Amino acid sequence: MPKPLPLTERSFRSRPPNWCPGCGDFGIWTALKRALVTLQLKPDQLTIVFGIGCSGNMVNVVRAYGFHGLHGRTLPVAEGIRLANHKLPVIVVGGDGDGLGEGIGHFIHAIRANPNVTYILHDNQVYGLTKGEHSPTAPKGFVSTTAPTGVIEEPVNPIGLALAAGASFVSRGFAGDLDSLETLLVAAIRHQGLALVDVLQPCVTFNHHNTYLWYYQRVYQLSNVQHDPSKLDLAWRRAQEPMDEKIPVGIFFQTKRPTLESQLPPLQGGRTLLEQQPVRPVDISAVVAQYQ
Amino acid sequence: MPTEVFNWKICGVGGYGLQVASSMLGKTFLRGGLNVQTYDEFPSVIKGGPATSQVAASVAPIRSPRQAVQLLVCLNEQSIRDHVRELVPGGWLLYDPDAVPKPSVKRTDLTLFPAPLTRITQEVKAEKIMRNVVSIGATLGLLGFSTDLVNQQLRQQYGQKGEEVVQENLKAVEAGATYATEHAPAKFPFRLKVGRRRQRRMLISGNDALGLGALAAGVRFYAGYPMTPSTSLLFFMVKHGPDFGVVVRQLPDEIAVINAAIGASFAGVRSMVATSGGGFSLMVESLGLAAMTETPLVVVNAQRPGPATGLPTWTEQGDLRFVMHAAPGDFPRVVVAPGDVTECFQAMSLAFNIADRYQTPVVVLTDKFLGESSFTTDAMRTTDWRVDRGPVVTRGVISGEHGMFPRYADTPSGVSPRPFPGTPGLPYMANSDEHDEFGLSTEEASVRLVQHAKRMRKLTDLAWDLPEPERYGPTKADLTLLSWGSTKGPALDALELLAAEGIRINLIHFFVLHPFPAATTIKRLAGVKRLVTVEGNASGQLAGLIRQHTGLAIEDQILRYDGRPFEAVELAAAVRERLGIKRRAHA
Repeated sequence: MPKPLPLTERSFRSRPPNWCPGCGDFGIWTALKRALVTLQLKPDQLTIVFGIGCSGNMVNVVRAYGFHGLHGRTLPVAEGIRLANHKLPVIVVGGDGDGLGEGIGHFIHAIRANPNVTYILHDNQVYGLTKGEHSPTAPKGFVSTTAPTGVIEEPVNPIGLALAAGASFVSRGFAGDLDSLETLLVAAIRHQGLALVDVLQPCVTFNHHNTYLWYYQRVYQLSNVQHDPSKLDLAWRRAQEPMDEKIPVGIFFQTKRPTLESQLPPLQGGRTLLEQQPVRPVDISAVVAQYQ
Repeated sequence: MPTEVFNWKICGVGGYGLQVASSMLGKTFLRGGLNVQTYDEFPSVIKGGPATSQVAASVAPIRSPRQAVQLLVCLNEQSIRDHVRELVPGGWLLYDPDAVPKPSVKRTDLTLFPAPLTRITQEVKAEKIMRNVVSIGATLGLLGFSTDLVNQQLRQQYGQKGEEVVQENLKAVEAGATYATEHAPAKFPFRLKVGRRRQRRMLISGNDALGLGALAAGVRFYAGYPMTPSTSLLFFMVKHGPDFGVVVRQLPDEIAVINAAIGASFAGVRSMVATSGGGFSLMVESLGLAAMTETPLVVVNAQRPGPATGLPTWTEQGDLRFVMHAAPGDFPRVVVAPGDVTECFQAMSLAFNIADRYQTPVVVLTDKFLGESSFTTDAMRTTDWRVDRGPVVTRGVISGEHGMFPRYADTPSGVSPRPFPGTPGLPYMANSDEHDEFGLSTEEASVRLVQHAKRMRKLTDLAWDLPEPERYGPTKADLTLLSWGSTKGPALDALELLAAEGIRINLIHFFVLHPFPAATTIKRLAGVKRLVTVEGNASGQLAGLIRQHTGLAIEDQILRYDGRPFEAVELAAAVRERLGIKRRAHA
């Protein structure tokens, strides 16, 4: 038996990425792998659920158990995996179009249920794969291939939305700051409950407004200012800061809330549903008797 | 006069406890050794709106509701107007004179029995709602049935709520029975022969039979969103699931429902969902996801008349073509349609085993009539059952430069061994994009061809692995009916009615609709004298399938799409008409 190799970033590599050079996805990919190494979570000890989009294409560059589902439907799949096997860490990787357009209902309801899932939301204001349409987080007036005179709607504020829905962990990261993002991801994966990590991620091809430089000029760490993530009112105030002025990153809010898994009786005996899966027909005579 | 079928119908408005009453009376008859069939009609509102519930009891098997009523119980005036015509000649109308002081009934052949149900509830200090229970007592009194049978039944039904509730109900029943015995305006003309209670019989609805089957098959995850007529299955799972270690989740929409079930199944547990046509529509894209990721999944579609919201609380068989073709692209799937409650129960073992063995979705198609009506059957048992999880691996060889597990390896059968996520050393990707054997996305034509052919190849073995259409009745017949799903019950009852008159017809019934059993169908239909399809839809969907797969065009189709199930007496009449036989005078 060869000695197992030590866990490194390379342990999580499958194919080389095909994102555009400079894409913010590289930063998130790298920070995620580093966080997994830090947590000593091996590729076969977790499952990553991917959405559809450039972010979801991470399915092809990560070596792990994974599920690349339908556009917008990551969170229900993640919940299902957690309920079947609540000993398996589950991480969701999806974009803003996926999660806040098509999947915004699941976003709210998954937060309400609070399964132990880390949700990494790639937030770049555009749909990349389909050639630069605006996403739900694009600011009003944003010019895109399908809004040549500017977006009419107000943007979705994922931080505010998550706080309003009662999320137990609400955070924002920046793909251009690997060290901070890794630290944030470690905290999010360790959190018991649904942890939102909204990652600001420059799209170098289709978004010439929210560039790396633009972010570098605005991003500041919440840990460097007087912010108490246990205080919901402070989190609310930080969540409302206009993005075009200063952009706070880090943990906005974290609290203890019972997880979905901890409230379902069949999961309380120390064994997962999978471990309880019958391999023989189940005796139903007690129920049959009620119909006699 | 002994009655072949005694049909009791209680009418009022939603919220009067009509279904509770019929279920109580049905169980009482069952315990009296009779065959029972119950059927409810109700509007899509919580309270108010005309509603009925009926119980047919018979010494011989009965598989479908009858229109002709022997004893009609009316709790309000409107229901007398609406239903009095359904009474057989010489039928009895029992009504509450406190609710209907002067019933206007033009028919002169009927016996009117004013039973002061409201006053009796007051006398036994019960709520007015318990008129339903008093009416059961009155019915038993008229029939000369012992109230002991209902006594046992009440204990079973209300025992958990305490002796007080049992006694309250019992008093109401006995007061009703005493009143009927003492005040019946004439000798009740209908007699039911009470048999010995047969231990191994049960009275169950299609939805509950599906739930029971799912529990027996080891379902671990059930997700649902309320939609009539699938909701009673959700209720069943909520009630019994936790005792069996099943996680039951009501999720915010059908898209979440099916995706959660796919996630749970991917992670290794037996998972199912149930909905009706509208909810199934929302699940469509995800049905393809299950097939593309080769994730086993059981989906129940309890049909109701569409399109759109349609007739929410009524029945139809209009979704056959829809569920066969739902979702983009070609992929292997199985569609089965149980014909009775036993087939509902058995279908769940088959569905879970087939889904696991072929790693693809199985759709179980029922409808409001089968799902929410109750039928008498032998107690369900799992004697010949087994749980087949299909090819699951805990060890394997990783390959490729990346060292992943070839989960989608090309195999002769098209089915590839799967590890559950978390299995040491076998990481792979389940991918809705076309993918290579490791699950990594690809747009290579050659890989696409291999993977698509691999998935579609599952159909070859599937065709041999599913039950064939069954023939009921004589081998040689003057006319052959063809049916699928819940139409089996009315069709079999029609067969029996006609057989009693010496008319020889038979029935070929389809349980598996997809992949279509073409070879058996051709064999079964060879040499048949006259073919008539019987379906609960407007376009003759089964007839179309038969034509597609056999080239045989069946022009003679009996179709029903008014929301009501087929009626055996009407079906028999339709057959007689086709054979040019006049109904002999009623004996």
